[in-house]
Amino acid sequence: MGKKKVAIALSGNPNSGKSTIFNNLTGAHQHVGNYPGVTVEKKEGKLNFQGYEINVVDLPGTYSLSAYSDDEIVARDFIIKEKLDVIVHIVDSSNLERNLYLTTQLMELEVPLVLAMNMSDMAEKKGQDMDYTKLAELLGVAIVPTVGNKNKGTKELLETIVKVYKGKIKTKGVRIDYGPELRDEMNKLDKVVKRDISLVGRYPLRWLIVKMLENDSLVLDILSKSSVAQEAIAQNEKSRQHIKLHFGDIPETIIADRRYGFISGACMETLKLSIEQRHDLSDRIDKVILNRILGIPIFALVMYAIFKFTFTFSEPIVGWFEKFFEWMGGIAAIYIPEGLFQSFVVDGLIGGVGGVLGFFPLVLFMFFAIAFFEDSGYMARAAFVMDKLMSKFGLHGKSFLPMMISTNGCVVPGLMATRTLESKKDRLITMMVTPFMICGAKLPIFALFIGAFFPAKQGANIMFLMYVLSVIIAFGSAWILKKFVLKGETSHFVMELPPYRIPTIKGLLLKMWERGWMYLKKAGTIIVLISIIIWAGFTFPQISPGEGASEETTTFIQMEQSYAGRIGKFVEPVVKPIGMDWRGGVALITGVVAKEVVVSTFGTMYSLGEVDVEDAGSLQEALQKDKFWNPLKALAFLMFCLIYLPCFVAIAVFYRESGSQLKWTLFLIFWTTVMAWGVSFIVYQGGRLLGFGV
Amino acid sequence: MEKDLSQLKPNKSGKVKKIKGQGTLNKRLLDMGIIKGAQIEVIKVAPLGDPIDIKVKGYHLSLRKEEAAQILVEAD
Repeated sequence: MGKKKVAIALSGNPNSGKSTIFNNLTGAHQHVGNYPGVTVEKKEGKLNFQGYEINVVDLPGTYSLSAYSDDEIVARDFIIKEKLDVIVHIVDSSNLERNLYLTTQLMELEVPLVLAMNMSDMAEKKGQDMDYTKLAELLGVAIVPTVGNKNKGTKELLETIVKVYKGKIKTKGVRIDYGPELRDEMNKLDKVVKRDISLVGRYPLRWLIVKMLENDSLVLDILSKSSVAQEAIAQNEKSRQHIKLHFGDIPETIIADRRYGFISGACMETLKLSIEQRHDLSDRIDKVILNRILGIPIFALVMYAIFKFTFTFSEPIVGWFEKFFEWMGGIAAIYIPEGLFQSFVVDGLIGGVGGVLGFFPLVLFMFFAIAFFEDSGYMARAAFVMDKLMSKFGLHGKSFLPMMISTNGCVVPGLMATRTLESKKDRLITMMVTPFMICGAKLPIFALFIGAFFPAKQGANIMFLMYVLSVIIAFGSAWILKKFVLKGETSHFVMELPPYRIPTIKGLLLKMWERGWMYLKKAGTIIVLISIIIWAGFTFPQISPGEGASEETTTFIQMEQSYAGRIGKFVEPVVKPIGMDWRGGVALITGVVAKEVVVSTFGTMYSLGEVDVEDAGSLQEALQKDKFWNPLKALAFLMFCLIYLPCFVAIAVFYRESGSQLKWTLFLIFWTTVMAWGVSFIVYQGGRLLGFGV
Repeated sequence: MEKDLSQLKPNKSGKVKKIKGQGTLNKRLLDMGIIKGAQIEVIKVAPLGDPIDIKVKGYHLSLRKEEAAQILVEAD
């Protein structure tokens, strides 16, 4: 007999410590996917407890369950459709009232509810003395105190989940009394809606009615397709009108008032405040962090710290990776007889993939640093500090995060991070400009060329200039887009500033690994394939060497006559004014596959040109030795790489995240390419006029 | 004295009288606990002068001044 399966979901406010609890429950047994049809991330995990197999879904963190954001819609649809056994609602005990607001809405969905009163230690420190038994009684739910970051209460939580599943604890959430006026109107709606039996089977009836009164667009949509459509909508209009007249306010306001009223009633009866703390530690930290004078320098310092950590600390590990792949190439060259197959393994497979995988440590370090500032509560402050500036350019304080994740990171998760923006317009603008940021995959290109053509000190300045330029181009684009292309108001900036917290190592490592794995998966599957295609593009058609031709000439001719060379030659007239030859053209085209491929393309081109496998080591040296290149050409090439269209994975994500709008996707491709060519042209031709690189 | 929240200086507090307007912003403010009668304290203004940091229901919330202007308060 198989194990009994229990399906549970975790719900809770952002910053309630939900992911920590999820990690405590599932350990490393989790995987990330998507909810069908939408682009909201779905985290799932599994565990065994007391002979039960418990499946845990981590719902997106939300404050409410209305129809205003994808996250909220996904969460409530999942709860309604999936026939869950138990919902575990993670509550930040130190921020009780606002957290319980979501509880009141979960209760309306009529699913067995277990409240994990998380961060109960923080609440105690704040002087809160909570009578859990009484609160459980008042709400009609089960309650377990937990301290997620110390892994306390996890076992008790699981025990309670099983007890609720077995029916040993009854969790019939109480119904909030919305008062006589609303109750009357709800009864009238109830009579109408109830007549459609199919509705009653699929949705909790009372929930439908409350949502109708709240003018919830999706519920009204459901109703308009029901057999009682006309009557229900008409009654709803009448009821809403009646409530408006009676209270002088819209029903949404009255319903929220009543929910919060219910909560403060429950808190009054169960919560004792022994000491009133006016300024806790978090407030004191904010006095410095958000200080008028220090706020921006601290912001800059944090950004610098993220970058420094990413580069400096990962450096030795990046080195080991590189050495490892070089060693692999050497070994392969010894054991595989010279010829096409050796070339395939050494140049196509090991050379190409190694160059890309070598940057994996960099990506991991960066995600670790970002996770640290996210989990510590600083990222919300960063948005707070930056919003004025960002909103000047038609962006949002929250636009900062996607740009941040893309900077040194990856545009793919960056584009996904735009989901935190609620207004579709804000989101689209942020998505349009996010690809201009210097993603981790562009770094190898910069590192390669700056390292090859500029002395270390100057190199650092150029790198800095690239960052500044990427920001100028992104902001300028945002401003233009907002002003001329996407006119309209910005979204709101109503955002929680969560208390500062010390992140847990486990949480950081899991976050780092999860995001790093996404990068690796992309590199692993796509880049291997592409590296081989590129290798083939350079190797075929095979040219037979002419009599008496030196090996060097033969390899050069091979490169020029190959398919890749022919494509490069074809685009040469377009890239010539920006200082490129056909090889640059080839590299830029393959770079659309993924930016790091620009490097492996050069790698393939140059190591194919080298005769001695032992000496195929440093691509930088090969570039330096090539008479074609000079610092100005390198700079113009870097400018083009900085600005031109993102890799096709990012384009595909953009397409999906924009709501599958081909129009905007094509616009993105056009916009970035034209801009890149223009800037490169100015740099190269301007530089020549000034007498550089001639 | 009745004024809108954006006019309230840091370290001053007030009680919510009314939230003007409808739609997303209105709903969001309600979800975040800005309801009639709620006590709000302005904590600070961002270094660049906007948005502001307020304390409501024991936690910190940030909002732009134009959004705060939608909230009418009775200043303490």
